Amino acid sequence: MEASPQPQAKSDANEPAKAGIAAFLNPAEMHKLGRLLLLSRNKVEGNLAGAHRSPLRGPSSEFADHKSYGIGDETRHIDWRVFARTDRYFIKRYQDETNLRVYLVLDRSASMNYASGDWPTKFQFASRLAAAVGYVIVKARDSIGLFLHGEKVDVRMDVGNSFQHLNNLLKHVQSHPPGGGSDVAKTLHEIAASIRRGALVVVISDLLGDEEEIVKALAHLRKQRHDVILFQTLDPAELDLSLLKPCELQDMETGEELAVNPRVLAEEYQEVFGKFLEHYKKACAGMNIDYRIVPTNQPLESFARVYLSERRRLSR
Amino acid sequence: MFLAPLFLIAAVVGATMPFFLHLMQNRKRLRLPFPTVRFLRKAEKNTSRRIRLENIFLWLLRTLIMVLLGSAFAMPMIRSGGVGWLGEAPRDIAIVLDASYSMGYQVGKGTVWDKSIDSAVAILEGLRDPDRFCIFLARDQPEAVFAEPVSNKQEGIARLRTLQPGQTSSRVVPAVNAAMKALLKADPLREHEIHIITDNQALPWRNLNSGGLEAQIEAKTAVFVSLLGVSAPENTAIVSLDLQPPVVRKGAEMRAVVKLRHTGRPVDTALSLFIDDREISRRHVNAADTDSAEPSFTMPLLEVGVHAARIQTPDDNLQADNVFYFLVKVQEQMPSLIVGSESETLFLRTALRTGFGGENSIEATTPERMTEKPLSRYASVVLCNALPLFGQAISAVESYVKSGGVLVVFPGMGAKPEAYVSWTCLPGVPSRVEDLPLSQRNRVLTWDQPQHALVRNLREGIGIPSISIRRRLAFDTLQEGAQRLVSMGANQPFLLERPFGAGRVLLFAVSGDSAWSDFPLSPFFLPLLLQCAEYGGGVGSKTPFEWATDYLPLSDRFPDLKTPPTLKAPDGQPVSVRASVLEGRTVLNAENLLLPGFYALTSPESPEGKPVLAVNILREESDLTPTAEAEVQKQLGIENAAFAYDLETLRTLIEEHRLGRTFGEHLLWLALLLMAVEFVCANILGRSKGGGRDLSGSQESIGIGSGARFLRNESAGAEG
Repeated sequence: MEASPQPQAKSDANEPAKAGIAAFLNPAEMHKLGRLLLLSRNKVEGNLAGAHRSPLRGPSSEFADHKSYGIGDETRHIDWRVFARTDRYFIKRYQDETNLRVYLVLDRSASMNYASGDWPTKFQFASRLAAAVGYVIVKARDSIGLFLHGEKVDVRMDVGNSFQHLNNLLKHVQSHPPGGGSDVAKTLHEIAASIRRGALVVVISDLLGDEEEIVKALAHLRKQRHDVILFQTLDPAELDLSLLKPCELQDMETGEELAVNPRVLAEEYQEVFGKFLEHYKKACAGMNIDYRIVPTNQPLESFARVYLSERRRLSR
Repeated sequence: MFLAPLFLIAAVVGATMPFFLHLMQNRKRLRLPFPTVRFLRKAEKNTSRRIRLENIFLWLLRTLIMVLLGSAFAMPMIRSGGVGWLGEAPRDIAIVLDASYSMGYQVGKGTVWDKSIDSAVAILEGLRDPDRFCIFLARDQPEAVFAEPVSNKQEGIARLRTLQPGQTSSRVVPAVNAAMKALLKADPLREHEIHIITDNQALPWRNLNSGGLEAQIEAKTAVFVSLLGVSAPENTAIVSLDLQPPVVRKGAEMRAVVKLRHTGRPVDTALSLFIDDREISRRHVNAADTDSAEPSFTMPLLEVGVHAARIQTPDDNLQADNVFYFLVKVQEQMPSLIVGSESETLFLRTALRTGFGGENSIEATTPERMTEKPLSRYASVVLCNALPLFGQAISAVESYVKSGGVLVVFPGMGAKPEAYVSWTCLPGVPSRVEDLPLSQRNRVLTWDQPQHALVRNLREGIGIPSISIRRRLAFDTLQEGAQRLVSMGANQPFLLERPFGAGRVLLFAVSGDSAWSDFPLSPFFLPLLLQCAEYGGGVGSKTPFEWATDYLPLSDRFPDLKTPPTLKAPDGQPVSVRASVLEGRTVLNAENLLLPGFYALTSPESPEGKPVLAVNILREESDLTPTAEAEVQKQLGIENAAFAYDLETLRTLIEEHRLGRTFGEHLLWLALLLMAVEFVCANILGRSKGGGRDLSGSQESIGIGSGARFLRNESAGAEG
């Protein structure tokens, strides 16, 4: 396990309040993230020329296929070598390349405000993760948009590919602290319906909702031919119930109370919670969704670096 | 019964502590927000029944631990036996003291007996007023000091101080029988204790003739056995002495052969022979030979008379058996009566006269005139072709043998085998007179009983005895008790012997003249005949010493005594001699000959007296081989006897029995064991395998416990 990072949330009170990306990433982290690239594993339909594969044919250096010559086709695209062999006219077509549209779907429900010990809250960690992803996207001149939701979509920002846009996006995140209930499934359905054309949807949530419904919503996204990345941010205490003393726990969203002895319940809890996570894992694997559990006690920068490298390798 | 009953309150309070802690814990529970309560509820639902059972188990375990701790500090007492759980009942005790002479074994500044008396006194001093005691001494026969339970402790202690160990061995079991009877007879409802005080010696516990306990020791009777002797005693003692010959003629050679017994590690020792209070010689015995060697002393030439002699071993821890007393009897002559015709007894008369150096040692007569002689005057009577004899003559001869004489019979042509039938004292009745063919006449004599007193000295220096036999008596069967001393050839008796009464009968298979064989002409005729005569002198005499006894018939030893003599013990005190008339004869019996040493007959002419008896204490007791607790318990028929090896241990055992024994320490150990069980169970049941964090603020390191299993698996899968 890597060394525990210093929680970003606990900043010095004397420092002036930061806004935008500077509130989430420091220059060193940005420097390291600047070298990374987030690629889509699917073909995406952007509105600008870019580095990502498009379902369309267009001008590029990467050969796509041959097509029989038809009226209206430019003669300069005829592949004369094929004509020489077959005595027929074929047009040589190339892969069109476009930019990547990425939508961040960030959960701001009350349960995201949980942190055990000195670790950052799940929302803080998710925000930083969103900032990191956004920085990588914008740095690659791709576009990024935002859906910030609790029980409903609270903030929607269309895609943009400037740092100004990213700063504005993150300011919205800053200005909407976690609270209220959550309905992840409903929100994802809404988002799936609202995003046109194939895009990359990055969902960052603790997914503590009805897992069956959430899986259906994820399937909806996939049906819309969106590439989906699912980051499930969880606190270490949620994973193994590593609490010491018997206590009375109150659910952060429903207010339900339960007196427990963590030592006694830990093993059974891990069993139950493990099944819950396993359900997501299997469902995502079946839908070709990139699913990651992100404990809040791990260094963000290293996680992002490892993940994006792996993603890049798999996207080729 | 508890020594510190106030701690029982602590036990009760302690028992309620787990319950109150449980309540307090519930009341002060920390309330925390948590996002995954629904999963916790599901987990709790799955495990609630198990958790409840585990909690109840732990609660009971903790309550039990607190109760045990409180009870342990309250020092509960448990009685080892008896009926008085709530209090002490009056008790009767019996003390059985081993009074054998081995109790005189020196241990430090005192003896085992001194320690035994101290222990007995301590037992009496530990009695309460209503308690009673009786005291028995274990000797050969149990001896009651207090035959019935009494309560006067001071008298009992005073009597104990006056007791001394005896000069005999002891048997504990009969004394325990007597003690049990006394206790049961007195008051069977009281608590009973039997205190056996002895040394470590195994001998008193051997049920030689005692037959074991007459009744089982009651379960409620506590038995304390004090084995106060040393664990590895050492002792060397002379256990027997053999004078060869038992009676010696003046000027003849005599040897004293002693047998030693040693207990403990082998040590060198030295034996000193004293005769008439003068040290005559000394023998050294190597350590390796202490048990097996039979050192002998050659006696000096002594004057006619009875000489007081003793052999001493060096001083050791048990001094009572260091001296062995005996008497040496020297006679002027060993008179023999030869019965037969002059011609047939020629060889015999010549041989005996030559051997004993004069005419006075033998007398000759004919069979017809034999009854005129007082046979009791002669050490031996030799019948040479004197048979057949009839009626009064046979009766006189057999009476002579029965009273300790030696009859030597040489056959002859005068008697047929039928002539021997009317004799009852002969070793065998010959079946025929057998003439041997020329080819079978040369016979080699072989010694069938080489260690027999008659022939053991004869074997030396005579080479291989061979004689020519022309005729012999043949025997098909021998009488009961008869034995063949010398054979001619294979299995054909040459000389037979049979004990008869106090005397012996020797029967030769050939005649005493040269008619049947050339035996009278052989070089070993003379020594064999002289041995017969010497043997006759010794057979009739009693052993040179007596074992200490309560009762000794004197008439057999001193037939000339008609009135009770004045017998003086070694300490100068007169010995009680009782006279009684039995079948018209006056029988004299000496009593209490228990003191070792020389007993003398005194008369007005000789106030000092002359030694007539040498008395030694029984040497069985010299075997100090230690016993084992298991053997003692086996003899007593119980398994719960309490053994003490010193006074302090005995006091502790008695205290534990009478007051009880605390098992607080056992409870503490049990509580400790349960604590360990509780610790293990609480940890196993608490599933504290992984790390944990206190949410109240303190930072601890987070281990990837079993709780992060899914995450680990997930990561591994991704890497794969």
